[in-house]
Amino acid sequence: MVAFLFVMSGYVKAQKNKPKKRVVFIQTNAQCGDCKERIEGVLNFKSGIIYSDLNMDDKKVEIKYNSKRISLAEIKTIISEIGYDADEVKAVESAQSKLPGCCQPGGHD
Amino acid sequence: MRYILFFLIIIISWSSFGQKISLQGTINSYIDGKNTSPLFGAEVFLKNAKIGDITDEKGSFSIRTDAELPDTLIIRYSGYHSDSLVINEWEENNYRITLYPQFVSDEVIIKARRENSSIMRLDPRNVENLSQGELRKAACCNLSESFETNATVDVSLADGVSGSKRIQMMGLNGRYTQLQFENIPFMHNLDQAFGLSSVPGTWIQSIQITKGAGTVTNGYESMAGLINLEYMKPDNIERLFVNGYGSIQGRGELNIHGGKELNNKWSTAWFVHGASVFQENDRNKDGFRDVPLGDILIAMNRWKYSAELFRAQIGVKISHTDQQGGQIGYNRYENQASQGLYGVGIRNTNAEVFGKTGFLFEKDIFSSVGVVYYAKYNELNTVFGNRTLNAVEKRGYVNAMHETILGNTNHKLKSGLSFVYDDLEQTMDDRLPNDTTVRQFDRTEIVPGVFSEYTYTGSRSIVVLGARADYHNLYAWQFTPRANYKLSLTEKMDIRLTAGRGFRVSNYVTDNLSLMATNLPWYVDNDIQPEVSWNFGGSWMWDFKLFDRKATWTADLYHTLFENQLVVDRDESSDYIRMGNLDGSSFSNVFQTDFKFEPLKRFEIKAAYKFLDVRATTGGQLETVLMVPKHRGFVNFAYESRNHRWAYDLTLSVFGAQRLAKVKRPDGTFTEDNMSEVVPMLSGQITHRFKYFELYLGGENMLDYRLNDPIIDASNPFGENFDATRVYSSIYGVNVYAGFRVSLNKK
Repeated sequence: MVAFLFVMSGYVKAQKNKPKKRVVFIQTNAQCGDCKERIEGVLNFKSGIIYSDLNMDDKKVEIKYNSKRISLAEIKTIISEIGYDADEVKAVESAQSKLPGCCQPGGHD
Repeated sequence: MRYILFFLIIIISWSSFGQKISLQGTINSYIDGKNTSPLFGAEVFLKNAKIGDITDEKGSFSIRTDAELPDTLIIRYSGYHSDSLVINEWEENNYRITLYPQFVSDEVIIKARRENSSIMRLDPRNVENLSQGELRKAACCNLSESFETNATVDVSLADGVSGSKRIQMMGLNGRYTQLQFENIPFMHNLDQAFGLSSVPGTWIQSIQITKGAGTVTNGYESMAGLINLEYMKPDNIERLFVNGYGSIQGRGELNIHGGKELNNKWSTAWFVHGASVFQENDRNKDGFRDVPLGDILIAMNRWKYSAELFRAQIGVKISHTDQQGGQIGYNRYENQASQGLYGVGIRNTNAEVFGKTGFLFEKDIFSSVGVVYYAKYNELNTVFGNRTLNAVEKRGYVNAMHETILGNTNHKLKSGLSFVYDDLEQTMDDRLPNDTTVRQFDRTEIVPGVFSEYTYTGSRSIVVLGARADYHNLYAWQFTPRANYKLSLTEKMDIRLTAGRGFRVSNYVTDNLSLMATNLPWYVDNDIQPEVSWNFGGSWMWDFKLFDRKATWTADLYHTLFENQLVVDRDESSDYIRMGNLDGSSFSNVFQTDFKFEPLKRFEIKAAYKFLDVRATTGGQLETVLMVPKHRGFVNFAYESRNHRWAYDLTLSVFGAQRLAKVKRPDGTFTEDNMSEVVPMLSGQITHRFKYFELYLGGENMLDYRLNDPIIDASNPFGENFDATRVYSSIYGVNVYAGFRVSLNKK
């Protein structure tokens, strides 16, 4: 039964690999592991997003999404609402000010 | 907490300049998720260049020097977890580093590290940390089951009828491993046999396993090792957490906990656990319950107060276990004789109160005083057929410790006083075919003690020297010296050495409770002396890159030698079990090697092999100790999907052949080949996470290995040959479970 589920989940994944899926890289101003967890924690549970993975070296978040269910602009808005810049979309100030001190701009400088 | 010094590498960006380096920045103290405050007097230094600075009132430091790079910047402050930062190349940067006070529990820091199980690199001892991530790899229902995805501690059934589990470390029974929660020793005497099931897995935040003799600051009892567990703390617990679990055994569990910060000083947390086995299971059709029926109810409430210079905690925990195993149909509440059925009834009621107070000093920032209190009242009633045990234990414990530095933070000194009071009343009533004995075993222990531990932290090595002297009211003075040494051979490679004495007052009744599951009489020698052991060991750890992927390889070797031990001798005769002082020698040699590797992102492999040579003089000869496998292997695969929504775990544990006791069969012949089979145990779990909850489905013993005939003479349970102690593996076979976890985090 357990083995069956292993197989099943792999199958479900394979099904999703269709061309309407897109991969984008969005530049954020994340600074630490906490930021990474916060951004991924929100994005990974949004419908339409298949995965998100923030690279700490260049602070770009790699997002694979289903363009029929969510748009790139919507994704950027979500990131800005968490409190981070997303490419040209600036962080929503009220959200940014609620981040822990270390995750605010300059927190790790 | 003090030994959770901690190695955290913060990745910094690169830029190239000369060898003249200039570092500056500020060090702050963590207050909560949002706030920090400058830390005055923290020590910041370059490890190899041996140059550093002390932070000023604003927490600032600056270091200018010529140095070979890379070097490691170490930040230390008494009462805080140390931190370190690899400086690869010079860069113009203003570092802002946050240190976490030791009062802040590990969760915060573990998050930053995101590794589930790891060796604590800055710790002078060989400590393995199991975080919540690791604990959730198995739906561990209680403490004994939390070690099932771990190779250091082995878990197995204690006997064939009570359903209780025993743990082994270094091939030695769990009683030689000191158990403590938040540095308070517990699980003594009456808790020895069934206590592990009174610690629910979901309440545990992390577990630290120390191999070899531990610190002297918490007592003299750690012989093979030390297991410390941290419960969830009031100041960082979820607002509400609910876990439900059900298995095909007919076992259901519900765990709920939550907490609240009342104001900036007070916080509280509460915990409730209920578990029940309500289904009759007898897969091998021997008429005995494979899993005892029973109910467990446990509740805990704890409070924390923290002000600038004073911190306090207080908590209370109550647990009640009521179990009935044995022959199907047995009812614990009716007289055994009138039912004509062999029953195993266990009732364990335990009430514990604990507290901690810590004082810091405004003028002397490197010193602190901590006092720990613990009291328990424990009542245990067990019935194994015609053997009964009724016991009551009252225990009190106080430990006061002063911590300071000598000159600078390279030299630390901990010293203190402790006091143990333990009052035990036990009545064991045997009405066996060959023997009728009533044993009254009462004991009061009063043990004041004094201890001191010195720690030297050099640039590459750490030395810990500790000793304690205790005056035991029954066994006079006991002196317990212990030493630890850690050397960093390179940035990525450490070796550790340990040596120390352990002392333990045995209790032949509760230490051997599982031997009540046989109708062989016990012959207990007079004048049982306390157990004394020496442990020596060394370990080696290497963090390296394999195919450009992170890998860790450790190897360790430990030797435990008993000066005296309560030896359980089943070799002298098959007609009785003798318990007495060690006459001859008893030792354990254990070699273990662990390999951890991440061949793909988010895919981790852990493998371990353990060789155990555990022998003692029994029946006049040096024999391999019963129920200890010679070889033990372990491999664990863990994979997490890229969006972290799916997690898969698969663990294969192999237990080599174990020597079993020679017993008489019902037809009068003796068992000949007294070696067990090799036991493979495969378990796996799938977890699917949603935003606020997760679901899991798992299987245990998926190869369905089970003993067909675990009980000798099961058809005649009141006869002289009945024996349910030869159980070395599962009776039940494959088990499938499922459950959910809901957590609402603090806002």
